[in-house]
Amino acid sequence: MKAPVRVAVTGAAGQIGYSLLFRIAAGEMLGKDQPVILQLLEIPQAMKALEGVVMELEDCAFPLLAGLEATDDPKVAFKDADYALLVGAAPRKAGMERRDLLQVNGKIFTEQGRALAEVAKKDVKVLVVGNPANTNALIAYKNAPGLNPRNFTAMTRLDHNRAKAQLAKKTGTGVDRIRRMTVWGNHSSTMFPDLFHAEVDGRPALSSWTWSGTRRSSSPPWPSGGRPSSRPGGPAAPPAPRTPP
Amino acid sequence: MAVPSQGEYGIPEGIVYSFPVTAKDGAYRVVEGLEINEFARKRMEITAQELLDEMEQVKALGLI
Repeated sequence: MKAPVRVAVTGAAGQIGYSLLFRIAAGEMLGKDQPVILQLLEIPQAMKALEGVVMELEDCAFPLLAGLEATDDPKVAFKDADYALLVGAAPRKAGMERRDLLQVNGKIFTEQGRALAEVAKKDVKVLVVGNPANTNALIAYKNAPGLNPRNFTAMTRLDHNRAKAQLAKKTGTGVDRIRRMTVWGNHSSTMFPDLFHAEVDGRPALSSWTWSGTRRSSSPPWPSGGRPSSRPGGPAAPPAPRTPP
Repeated sequence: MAVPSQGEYGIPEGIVYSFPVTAKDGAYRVVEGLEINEFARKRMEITAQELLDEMEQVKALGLI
């Protein structure tokens, strides 16, 4: 068995944490041969709930779960962390302007950037999930002197997976038959899902063959019932990006 | 994956921008050399601008 690695997760008692932690503990993030020590961070108000999550993780008796820590102190949560998943962020409340949201989250990610620089392993890999993810990641790395900015990333894999699923639906195929999906930019309504390089069964996603030749359903792929242009390489306008939740 | 730009595809350096990447042996690389048409370029720029605006806002708040 390998030596355990330390995975810090913030917002650990929240909804995302409740799906995420069990999969990490089961080996689905880092592999079935990699023991993990979970170091969980919450705000003081959520510590009781976090205690409950800890009990449930213990109840599962995951063989790969080599340790479990619950705290409201970032310097404890991030101590010697190899990975940090920054899921927790302040939600927008009624009456809040975007400026207020950035300010509240700025406080969180400034503190976390500093704590990571102070106590985490020097090559800690940080994934920011809490929104606005891209800008929170920017705040975190700018406040983490001594850490490599390229080790800070923001999650757009959801956008990528969503685009794959939508393309699979439209072409009547499965996500395993899609390659080279690309999503560009901000995890927001300006996210650009790019079909121009995507392939379905090795063929360009936007070719008329793909749209007309592979769908299993009998109804047309277009809402109006119209057919896409059959000019070779001529792009039909890609589907408009869905507003992320 | 959104990563700090190092200027790939002409995206301003420093902002955290989603690029196509490949990962191997614990490291990632942005996929370079993809052809970007006008339609795509426009949309890539719109989202880059939004990120630049967010960066200016956090600078003004003294966060970075």
